[in-house]
Parts: sequence; C-alpha cells; structure tokens
Amino acid sequence: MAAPEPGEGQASAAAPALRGERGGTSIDRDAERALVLAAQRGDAQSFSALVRLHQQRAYAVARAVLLTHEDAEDAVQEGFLHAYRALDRFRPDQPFGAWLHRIVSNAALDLARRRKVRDTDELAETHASPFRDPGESDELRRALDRALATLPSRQRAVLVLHDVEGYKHAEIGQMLGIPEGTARSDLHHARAAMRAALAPLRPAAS
Amino acid sequence: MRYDDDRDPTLTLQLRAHLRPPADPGYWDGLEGRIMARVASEAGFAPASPPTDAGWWEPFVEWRRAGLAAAVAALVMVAAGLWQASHVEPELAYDVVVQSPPAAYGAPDRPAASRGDLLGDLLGY
Repeated sequence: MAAPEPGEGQASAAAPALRGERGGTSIDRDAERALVLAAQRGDAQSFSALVRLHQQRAYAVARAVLLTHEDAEDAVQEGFLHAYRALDRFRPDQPFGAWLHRIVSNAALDLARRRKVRDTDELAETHASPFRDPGESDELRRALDRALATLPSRQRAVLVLHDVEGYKHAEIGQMLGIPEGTARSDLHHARAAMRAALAPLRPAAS
Repeated sequence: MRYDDDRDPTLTLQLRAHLRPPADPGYWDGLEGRIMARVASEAGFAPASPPTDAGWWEPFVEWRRAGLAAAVAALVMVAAGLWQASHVEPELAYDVVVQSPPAAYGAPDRPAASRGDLLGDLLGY
C-alpha cells in the first residue's frame, strides 16, 4: 500500500473529543512539529512520542473500519510502519494526525478486504472486544456485531467515524478517499441498515 | 430527504459503548512498544524500551550527566590537591633544613675530640 503524498490530508477540525485529550495525551502544533522534524532526522524517541500521542485516535480510525479489536491493532501497527517509511515525504507544516489517519484508514481498508472471506457468523462469535462495556448486554453486543458485519466496510467506516468518533463528512471523505457526498450517502444507508438489523431489540424506539 | 436528518442517538450511544477503546494505560504502553519494535526492526535502531515499573534509581537518571560532571570535577580537584601537596611538602622539609639554626656547626654539645684522644680512650691510656 502506498502512503499518501505529504500534504494531502488537510483535515484538522476533528471533534473536540478527538483532539488528543483521550487518554490524557495532547500536544500543541509547534511541539508536534518539533517531534516530526526530529523523527525525520532519525530520532527514534521522537517517533515513539508521536506514536504515543496518536495511537489512540489511530486505533479509533482502524476500529471504525475493522470488525475486531485484533485487526484494528494490526492496522494501527501497519499504519505507523507505513508512516515511518513515508516520513521523509511528509511536510512538517501539515497536520501530522490527519496524514497519519489517512494512512491508518488505508491500512485498515486493505486488511478489511483481506478479511472479507470470513464468515459473518464466525466473526460475530469471535470478534468481541476484550474491552467491552460491562453494561452492554450479550444480546445487544451480538446483534451489534452481526449488524456491523453485514455493512460494507466503507459504510461501516463512515458510520463509526461520523457517529462515534465525530469526524465531519469532508474529513471522512479525505480519510477514505471518497467524495464528501458519497460519505453522506454511505452514512444514510449504514444508519438505515443498522436500524433495520437492531429493530427487533428496540421496538419502543422504532 | 436530507441525509443528515436520520440521526439516531440510541444507535450512536450503543455503538460508542460497543466500540469503546481500551481504557487500560498498560495496553497503550504495550501497543507503543510493539509498534516501535516493528519500526526498529525495519529501521535498524534499537527499540525504545517500553515503560517499566520505576526502580528507586529512576528519579536519579536525569541527574546522571550532572553527577558525572561533578565526579570528574571532584577528581580533577583531588588530583590537583595531591600534586600540589607533593611539591609543597619537600619544599617545607627543605626550608626546615635550610632555615634551622646551624647548631651542629656553632655549638657542639661536647668539645671535639682529636683522633689521638679517641685512640687513647680505646687503648686504655
């Protein structure tokens, strides 16, 4: 997979919850730029600091595309590896996060294509996150797993990136390499499919 | 129908709970270590060691350089002191010898005996 060219990812206005505060990691642009410059000079500690800053959001992006926690982690690792390889082509005046998320989403989409051969039922039994919400019932969890597994990976990614992670349509379009209008229609179709799949569990809400 | 009109807060909340990322900081430390290990194997540099439980010496690690400089400075000072002392002591000893009153030459404890007197004593004269 080829990493995006530097400067292609301009999306920077992520939702407030996504500005790096999750997990207590945040950094201003100048400090991040200094880390990028040092990493480009070969400083491993600086690249490690960039990993620490961005891995949680990268995981969220990968998890939006992929059905399992393990696959999401694989995609995050692949994404950072691609980012490292392409680091000398990244322009430090660009937002590193947006560039990285495009790489991670591409890695996740590649992995999703390879995983497509898996049987949906098998996935529903095996991909439960080890970090599940204890308040989530097993029945709802299985239903969500099955419903998400029936969505095309791009629709699933748009749904999660928009509704769960708070990205805007333009940002999602840039991240996934699709027009903004396509992201909107994908979101519409994904919501409809999820509502239909979950309707038996929530008759009062329908 | 506009696409943005079909928001579903219930579905959103369910998805957020379902796709919640790991909350354990240890997981993220481990993931960072695994990522850096892969990057290191590609780039050929030593991976950053994953965070471990801090030992009692951890707070002093940052002072390592300052401590090393202080130790070198102390060694230099001690060496200079020893060198200076080794030159001053002979000088002082020399001064003592030179400046002490010439008692051996000016005021003998007993009159100097001639060689003949000494021989007479020995032979019982």
